[in-house]
Amino acid sequence: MNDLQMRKIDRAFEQMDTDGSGFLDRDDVQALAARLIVGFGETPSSVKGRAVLDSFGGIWNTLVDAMDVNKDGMLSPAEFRDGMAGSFIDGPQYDAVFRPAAEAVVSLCDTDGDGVLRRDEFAMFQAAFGTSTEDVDVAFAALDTDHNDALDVDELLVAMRQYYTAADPRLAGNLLYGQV
Amino acid sequence: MDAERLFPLISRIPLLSTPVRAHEAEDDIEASLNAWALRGQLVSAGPAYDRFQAHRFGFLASHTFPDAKADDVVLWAQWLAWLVVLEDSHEDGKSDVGKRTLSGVLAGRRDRKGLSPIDKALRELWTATAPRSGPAWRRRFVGKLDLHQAACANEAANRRRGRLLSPSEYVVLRRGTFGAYLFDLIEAVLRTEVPARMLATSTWRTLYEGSIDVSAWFADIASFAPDQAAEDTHNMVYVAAKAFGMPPTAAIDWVGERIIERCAQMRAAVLTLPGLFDRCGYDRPTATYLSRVACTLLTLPRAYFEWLLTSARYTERDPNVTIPRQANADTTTLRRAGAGHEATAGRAVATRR
Repeated sequence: MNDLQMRKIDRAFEQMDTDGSGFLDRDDVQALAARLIVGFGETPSSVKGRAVLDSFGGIWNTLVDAMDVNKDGMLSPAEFRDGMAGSFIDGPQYDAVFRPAAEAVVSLCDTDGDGVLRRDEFAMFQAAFGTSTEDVDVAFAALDTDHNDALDVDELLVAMRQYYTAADPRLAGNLLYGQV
Repeated sequence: MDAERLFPLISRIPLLSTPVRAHEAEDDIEASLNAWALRGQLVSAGPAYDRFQAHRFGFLASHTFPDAKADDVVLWAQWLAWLVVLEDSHEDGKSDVGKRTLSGVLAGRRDRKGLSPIDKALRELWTATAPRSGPAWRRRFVGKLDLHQAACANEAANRRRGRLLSPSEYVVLRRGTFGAYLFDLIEAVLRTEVPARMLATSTWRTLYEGSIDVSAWFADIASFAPDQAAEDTHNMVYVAAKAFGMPPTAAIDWVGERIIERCAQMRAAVLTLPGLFDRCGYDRPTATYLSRVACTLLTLPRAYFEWLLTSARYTERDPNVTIPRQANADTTTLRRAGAGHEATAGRAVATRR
């Protein structure tokens, strides 16, 4: 894992540590899912809401199974970093576990199902992750490559994979949540 | 059992269209609850205990809080079970409803030896619950306990006088009799507290009251036949039928339309939450945890619907009938389970929640 990947993973930890305790637990992950679901007017018993909850639960279980060394149900930043690397960057679980979560989130954000995310939908997604307004603008500009003020959902899924796995600093997906 | 009538209704509500997940420790939660009730003599051993277990209060708790810590889920289930035991004591004529307040029981100095099992359990639950939250939440919660008692007393008085409520009167009374404090208890289970400013907004009231209303009206549709047989007029279907001169089937449809309308109001409310978080200046942890409470309020009606199909509270079922318990049971599976109840059930149980 290079320095860029470390910075991205550390940022992901901060995004998921919703209570700011310095440790991740199941509550943090489910709270993040709840924030997304509420932001888009869904419920835990709607198709889109349930998909987000299930897939976030899958990510959490994968990380805990792989990295909760002391079995306390919490992950330190170091455990999270190692878990992300072992499971999703160097390991085989991105497509099996992480990609379904990315797809569930993108489906949630694409409220009218037209295959593109408008700027306001993208901003709502980012708000759940605690991204600043400035970073939202940086991210949108980087990802909106054809400058049509909308993001193609397939391109967004590629950007998510790049953010969470790629080492190449030239990729636009590194800016998914703004400058890192 | 009229819960079958809910299937076509719930399929028209996209926000409630998917089964909610069960807690991974659901069996342990149910076992822990049942043992607690027996230990505290809320229920006696034998057939009464068998029946208590068949109510499956832990099922509702598990499906309402699929991700909470198991001990916290048990606490919510204990309050639910305690509420139902209390209500049953009203119906048995054994309680002194209307003659005292539950806040009085909590504040009372009587030795535990002089307390009934119901009052002992109340004190025990309060001892476990109160330290989780601040004074404002505690006052609110105790006020809701008294509201429930007052609403039950009103209902009993209406029965004695043969008074029939209008739909709008009934909606307000039903929130009280349904045990609104169980919905406030969500905060204690999730170990958070909704700020007073948020509680006062129409957005939050819509979510909170909507969650109670939809769950209660589901219960009313499910229990209409036994309520009617018991000549209990405190049922939304009955109230609507009388108010608008409709036959019961039309009144059930009318209540169904109100449920759909209420869910639409809840969805409109939830869409305004992010903006409200910003206007209130809440930081990210606060906004996130309020979202969890909101999500649970949105979960409860669907969890309640699934409980209606599972609990002996609503069907007197053959104990040998196996009810599907998997989290991913789809509506078709649940419908079959409901039909199974219909096929094997004796008379419906004339009790309501």
